[in-house]
Amino acid sequence: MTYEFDFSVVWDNIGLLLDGALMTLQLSALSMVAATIIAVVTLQARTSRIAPARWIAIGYIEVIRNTPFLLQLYFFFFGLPSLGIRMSPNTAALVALALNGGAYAAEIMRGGVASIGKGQWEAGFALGLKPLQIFRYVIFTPAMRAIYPALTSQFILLLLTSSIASAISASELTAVAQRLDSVTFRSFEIYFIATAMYLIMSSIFTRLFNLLDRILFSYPIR
Amino acid sequence: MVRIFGLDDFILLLVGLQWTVLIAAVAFVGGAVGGLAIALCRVSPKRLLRLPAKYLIEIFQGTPLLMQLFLVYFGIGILGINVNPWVAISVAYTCHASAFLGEIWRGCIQAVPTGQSEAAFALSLSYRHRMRYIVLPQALRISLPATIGFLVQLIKGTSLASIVGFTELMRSGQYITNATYQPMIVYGVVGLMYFALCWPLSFWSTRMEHRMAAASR
Amino acid sequence: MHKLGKATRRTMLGVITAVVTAGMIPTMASAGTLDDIKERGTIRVGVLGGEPPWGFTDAKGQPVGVDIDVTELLAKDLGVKPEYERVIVTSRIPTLLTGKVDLLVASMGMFPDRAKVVQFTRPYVANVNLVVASKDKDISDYKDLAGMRVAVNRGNVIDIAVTENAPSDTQILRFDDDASAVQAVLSGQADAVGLAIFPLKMLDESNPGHDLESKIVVNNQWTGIATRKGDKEFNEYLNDFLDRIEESGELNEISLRWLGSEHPEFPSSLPEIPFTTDQ
Repeated sequence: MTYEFDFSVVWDNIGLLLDGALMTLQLSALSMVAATIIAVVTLQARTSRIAPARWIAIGYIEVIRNTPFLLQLYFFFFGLPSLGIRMSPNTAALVALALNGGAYAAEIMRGGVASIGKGQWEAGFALGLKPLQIFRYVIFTPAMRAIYPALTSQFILLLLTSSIASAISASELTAVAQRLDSVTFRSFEIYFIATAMYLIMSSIFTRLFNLLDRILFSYPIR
Repeated sequence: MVRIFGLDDFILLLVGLQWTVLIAAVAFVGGAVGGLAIALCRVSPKRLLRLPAKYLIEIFQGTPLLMQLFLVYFGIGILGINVNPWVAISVAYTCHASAFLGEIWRGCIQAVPTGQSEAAFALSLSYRHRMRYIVLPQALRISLPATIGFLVQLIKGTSLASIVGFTELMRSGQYITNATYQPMIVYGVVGLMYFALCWPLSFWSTRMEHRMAAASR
Repeated sequence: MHKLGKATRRTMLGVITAVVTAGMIPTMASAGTLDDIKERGTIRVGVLGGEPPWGFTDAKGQPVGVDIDVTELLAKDLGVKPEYERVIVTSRIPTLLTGKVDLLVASMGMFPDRAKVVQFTRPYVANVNLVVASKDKDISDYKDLAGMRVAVNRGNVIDIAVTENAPSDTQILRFDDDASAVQAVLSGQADAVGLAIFPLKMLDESNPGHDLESKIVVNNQWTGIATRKGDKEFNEYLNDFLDRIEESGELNEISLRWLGSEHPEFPSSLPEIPFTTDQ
């Protein structure tokens, strides 16, 4: 068996890989924002008094959480055109990621809201806070503080999940790596460096989220 | 040569489903052993055990499963170890599961109130006995919902084995699509199969979580 | 750099260390594959699992196709049992090079860049690669692909040719197999698709309503068996085996069964693609 390592193909094509990484960053950052909005709307529906809205929200959450992302991607890219909805690979990837993240984030937020007991309102009221102040200091911030770690790790997961979008020909980092692999046959070297790039990107996000955590949720509440 | 999606294809998907279940099962059992070791290292008083476990978890949680698969799958071959792809895939998923379960269980071990451990210490139980009889049994109970939740992630994650060419449920679906050109029917059935496998587990996990939350209130 | 946390710096350092160490692993010596096969009693063959009619999966889950029929003859000739490993287009060369299989009978088009990393045998089958689009599309040359979306099977010959020859504003969509690429054009997600002639014929059967037709002939492709480099004994044996099944008419039978026509006259050499090796 013969295998000689040769990382030169990686350095020769580092520009392409960096372009791919930039696309991955854009895709994941946008889907994080979109997922948050979708999650808030879903949470409203999930806790709504209108039964059909609840059913739709539950159905959406359960289907997304119990089927592979790869399958969801296929559905958005190959399935929706038969209903007349046509998206480019990158858009389809973004929509699939946002809907995937939205379902998980909605469940996480539901847990956070549930963790705030009724007593909180009453306590805030007893302290003579105005309703808006109660919401801000006694409800929203503690709830966000409770869900923040779970929510942000879900966001990191979104960044990592975006690698699967290569299956519908989106032009992110994994797709670039696979393309380079298919013309240079240096699989291990290319995937090794691509993996390192993902690791760096996820550490950057982690550190950014930690920084935000310290600014937004540190005691005492300002 | 072209065929219509029929009973034989459905059976072929069931065979693929078997492999999906088998990979997930092997990775889950292997990951439980590896995960316990990592979790114990992670909460160990010794820095030399704590740090490597921490970095291992960081690397696995900071990189895509697809990349981990590629690297372990081809890396094993490069190291000169000749194993069949099924073993290589199992090793890759076991590593992945070990790191994730290790981190989940670390959290659960640390969630056991410190008073428990202190009381055991006061009774002059050794570190091993404290872990074995006091902390771990309680941590196990706390960890069940998250552990089952991860099992669902693992089952869905096995679909990526198709990308290195391993024939599990997703790949079987692709083969049938290539021979029938009926992707919507085939992937619809594939999706239902994953759902049938994952949903009961998700449901169980959520129900346990709610019960525990209610009990602790 | 100093703005990154301590852990990130350590992680990066770890990555760099690993890269350097990985580079220092010495080259592993190549052993006689033929001896290994006979000793083991099985031959491990990389075949495609989802690319009819070359290598695909029947309704019972068994691998079938041109490549599988050739492999069965090979195994019989060696007196060993074949052990099939499904590969996809992008994973086949790594699977061979990392020693997971003894050889690839995986519809491998014989091209100079591939010949640099693997050892080809003489060809055993021919194929025609096309760019296909619906009848109303006005395409006769690569330049007509300007502004269009072309779906291809990632890393195959058509991908490489279109990437090289199409205008820069052509959008190339790369998928993991033929079916996804075809699906992209059938669902209107792409304007044209790179496809070989036989899958196109299959499409006529499966989707009788489709209006796809051949637009550009990318190339006539010779397909050979691939092994790792530096194994003269194995290479000579395989060439001899292919000569013998051509002469006996068995290769023709396979061609008639799957492709509906006799195999063409094979070339005795191809520029920059050696069929044999001195090492």
